[in-house]
Amino acid sequence: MTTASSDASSTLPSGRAKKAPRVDGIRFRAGAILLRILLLVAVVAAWQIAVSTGAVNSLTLPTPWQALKAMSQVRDGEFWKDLSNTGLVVLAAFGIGGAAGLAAGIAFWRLPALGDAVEPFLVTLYATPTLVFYPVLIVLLGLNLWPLILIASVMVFMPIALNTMIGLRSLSPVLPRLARSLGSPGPVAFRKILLPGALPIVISGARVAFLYATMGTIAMEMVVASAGLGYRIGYDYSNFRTQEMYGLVLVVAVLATGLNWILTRVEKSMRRDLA
Amino acid sequence: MTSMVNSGVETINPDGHDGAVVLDGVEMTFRNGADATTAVADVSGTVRAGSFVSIVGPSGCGKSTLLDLVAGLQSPTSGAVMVDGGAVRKPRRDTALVFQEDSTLHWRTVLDNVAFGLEMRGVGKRERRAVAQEMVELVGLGGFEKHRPRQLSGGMRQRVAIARALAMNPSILLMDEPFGALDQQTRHHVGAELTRIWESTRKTVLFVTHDVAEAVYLSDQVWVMSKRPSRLSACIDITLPRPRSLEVMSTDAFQHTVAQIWEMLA
Repeated sequence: MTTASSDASSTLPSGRAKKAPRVDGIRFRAGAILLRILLLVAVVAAWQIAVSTGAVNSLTLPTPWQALKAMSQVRDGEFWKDLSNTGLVVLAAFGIGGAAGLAAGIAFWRLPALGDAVEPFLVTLYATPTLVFYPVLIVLLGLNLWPLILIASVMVFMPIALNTMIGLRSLSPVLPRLARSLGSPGPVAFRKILLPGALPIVISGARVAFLYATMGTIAMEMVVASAGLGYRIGYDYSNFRTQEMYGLVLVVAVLATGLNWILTRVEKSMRRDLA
Repeated sequence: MTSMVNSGVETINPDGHDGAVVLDGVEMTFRNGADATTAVADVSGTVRAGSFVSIVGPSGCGKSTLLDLVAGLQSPTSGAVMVDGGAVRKPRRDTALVFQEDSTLHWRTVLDNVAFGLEMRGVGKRERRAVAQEMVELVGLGGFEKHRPRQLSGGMRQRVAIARALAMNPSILLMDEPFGALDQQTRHHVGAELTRIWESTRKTVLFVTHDVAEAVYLSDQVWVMSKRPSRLSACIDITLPRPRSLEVMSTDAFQHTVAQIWEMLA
């Protein structure tokens, strides 16, 4: 048994063999995880104490346990309707803003003068909370999903356009020369050599874009909407359903953490393959 | 007239080999607005098919430009670059380039990197993999087929680039300071490897370097270029016996030739 497994490991390529865990690393990670749990416990304890001593009115803030129990609303059909509504907006925005951002990033790279000209605007727009335009768009487009999708698309567009341009610009100048020396036609060279080279940076942009769009959509739904996770949180708030509201906030926090974890994983595995 | 050109081609293509390069009064001037820089001024020379020629010269003397011209990546301002009697106007299928910078594709395995040139030429997967496998072994990277360039040393990556060029079975291999970014020890090692590969494949090689000893060690002939605007100041035949091993570097004949070339460059 032991010999069999050591044989198997010795036939692994050296690249994998190098990944043997280091004892120091494990101890460090265990320490970090312990500290994390302690922090979490401290926050929850402070929350509990604040409510049970009456420092905060229990009508304004439920106890952690009440909030946790209120997470059971994920079993209701209502929750799934809200989730799918928000999800639809985010996915549509990711599709529209992502495609436009990729195209724009490529254009800004191909036309460096244009790229240099628009870069400050892109960065400014990146730092502007675009969701302030939401009410204006509702007036212009009516109370439907389009104002939401449009603004979320802009949120997706900017990091992807910027990172696509930066990723392509940071490629080694030897790659275009290689493409030409191999006689590859432009589009083929772009697809096989340049785009894969720029992809790691594009993907980090995409991760940021996805999180931006999700946060932005929920925030906008809190302002005006007829469904969606943000809408539900806002609705619970204005109807003094604080337990349900905090339960849903916890659900959103769990969803966001999970989403970020998955996207980070995807980004890392792609970077490993591409970078 | 035509027959004269033909007979000329025959003497530079011994044994019916392909890959003879003729430079005829080549001049290259770069224009940047009102400024004009002459990188190469009037270079003429002949590389016989199947021979190994190195180009040495001071930095910025247009060595790499000369290589770009033979590769068809640029066209000379005047004069002509000819391969096997035909003028070079664009990158040719029978020429392959190896660059100074790391030009491996980091997201591909070693095998897929080596097969990449063939893939760009539309060679089927099975065939290109078979050829790539052969080349991987030829450059001494057997066992590393599934590694990514990131997992390899600089010298190994350059061997991947050389294997990629060789996989396309070019008659002319153009190498632009391919070992320029490597440390001295690795340089010697990969240089010896290149000599072994060249001695078994006998392709025409045009090799740009600023390392005179490397040029003498590798070549049949060394072209010495002058400062910009550069001309060919000498063509020196290297008559050291082949097959050559690294020990040849300690012989008097070797050191004498290196000293002779240094004198021309000074």
